[in-house]
Amino acid sequence: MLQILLNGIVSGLLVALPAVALSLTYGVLKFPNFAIGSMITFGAYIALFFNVDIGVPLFAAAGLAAVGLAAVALLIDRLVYRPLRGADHVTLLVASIGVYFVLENVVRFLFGSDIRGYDVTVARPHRWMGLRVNNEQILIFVVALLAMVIVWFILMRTPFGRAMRAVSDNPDLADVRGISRNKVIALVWVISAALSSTAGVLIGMDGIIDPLMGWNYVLPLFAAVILGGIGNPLGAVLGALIIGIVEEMSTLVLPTTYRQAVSFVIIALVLLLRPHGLLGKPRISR
Amino acid sequence: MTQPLLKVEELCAGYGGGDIVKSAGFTVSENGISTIVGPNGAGKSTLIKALVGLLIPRSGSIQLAGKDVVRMNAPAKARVGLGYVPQEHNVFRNLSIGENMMLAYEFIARDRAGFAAARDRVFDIFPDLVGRESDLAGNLSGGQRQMLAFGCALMPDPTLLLLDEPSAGLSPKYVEGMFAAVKAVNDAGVTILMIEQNVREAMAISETAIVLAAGEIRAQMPAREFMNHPDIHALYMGAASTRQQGGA
Ligand SMILES: Nc1ncnc2c1ncn2[C@@H]1O[C@H](COP(=O)(O)OP(=O)(O)O)[C@@H](O)[C@H]1O
Ligand SMILES: [Mg+2]
Repeated sequence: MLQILLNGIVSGLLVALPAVALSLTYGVLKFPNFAIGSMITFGAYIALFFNVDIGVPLFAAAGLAAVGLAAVALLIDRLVYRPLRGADHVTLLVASIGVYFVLENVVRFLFGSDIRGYDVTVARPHRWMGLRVNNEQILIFVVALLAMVIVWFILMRTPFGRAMRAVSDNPDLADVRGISRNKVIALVWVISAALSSTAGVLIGMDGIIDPLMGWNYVLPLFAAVILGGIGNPLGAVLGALIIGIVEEMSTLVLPTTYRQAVSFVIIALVLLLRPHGLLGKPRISR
Repeated sequence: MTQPLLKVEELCAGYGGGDIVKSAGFTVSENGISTIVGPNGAGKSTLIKALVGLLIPRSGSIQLAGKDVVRMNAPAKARVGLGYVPQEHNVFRNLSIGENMMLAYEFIARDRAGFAAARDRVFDIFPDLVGRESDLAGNLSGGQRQMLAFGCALMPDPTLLLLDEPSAGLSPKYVEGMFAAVKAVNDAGVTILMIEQNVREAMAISETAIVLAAGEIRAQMPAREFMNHPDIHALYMGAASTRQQGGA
């Protein structure tokens, strides 16, 4: 049981990183960025390129992947989302679905469709109080927590973080406060890309790298964000942890092929019972 | 004659359909209080939004201290000294009072050292806000939220402050305090252009009245003259009292 909880928390943390990214972009840009799935994949592949093809150590390759993916995200914003600024969120969602498929196919074109892996040595799992813990899990735990603390610090303790929260809260008032919306949007993309590519690298270390690796996370990600209350980063983390644990527990009673169905059921239940999520507030006017 | 602080000429603005503000022209002289009055839906809020840059005017000119600012966006206008308190949604509800005040300052004034002095000035005018910095702005009562919104607009020390119905929705206790605050801020050297429906109270502290109806400026005259003007008085004050009955 404790083992399941541990595995659930670790896989929940993998969902939590991009879920925070999804919730931040939603807050500022007001559309659910479906392309987050291929951003995860793209980030993992940029790191793969530097790690395997160039021979850079993985942690440095991960840093380069964050920078590279941030550049890609800013480029996409310039080419796709900026001309659509102010369009309704269905249009933007559809655009981001388009971006998803373009990015996935760019990955296939540049890196092929084979299953690949990073150049890391696999160590035997540790045993600790009857629990089996491997190095990847420890790394995921530490890196994900660190990333979330950094994001929390930026959001709550820096002027640009405040500006980000201001734009998600009331964009017109943020304009009047002298806040440049384009700078805030750029910052949101950079943070979102860093979180997605970090998740991509961690997922790739723990499992495999293939062009569909991010696709498999789209459903749990949206479930986490909807469960936590869309646009609320803290809620997204909570939602991700719950998804991770519930998915892991479902394997006790259901065949593992039904694992993905858990996210579906959770999305349906939340939308029926508490559409604003656990930490979200019901929409109120004024 | 000295040049006006704000000079608006042939300003047209709207939201997509036809013009809401139609070729509006008026001036605001330095140091005074000017009040825009007019029936609901006349386009008063739209005019102010066009002035602050939330709505880019379709044509016409806006001169602030002799400088054409008509093409500037809202953040740029805020940085050249234009302050604005919207009629609604005028605080960041999910941020604390302290964060609201910080944000009102840091991206416009940019001089970090002056923050504490600016905050203390606001606390002097609105003592209700003192000691509540960590409370969420969304939890404030209507009157307190209006104080916070007003206080925030004062943080970067604007040269011209635009207030969109500062006394709307306030209980009588707060209305009096709000007009006293407007007067105090003006006495401290901030030129004010406000929209008001509490015409009598507003005109009592104003030098100038500007009448807007159906998107057009119908008159600009000294406030005293406005209150004594038989035509406008009957027309406008009559409309105001009908509306008050309807809204009650
Ligand atoms: N965001 C908006 N989009 C479209 N039309 C608007 C918007 N805001 C106001 N209007 C319209 O513009 C007209 C003037 O509104 P407003 O400027 O708010 O009037 P006032 O402040 O004088 O009561 C109204 O007919 C209103 O319906
Ligand atoms: Mg109005």
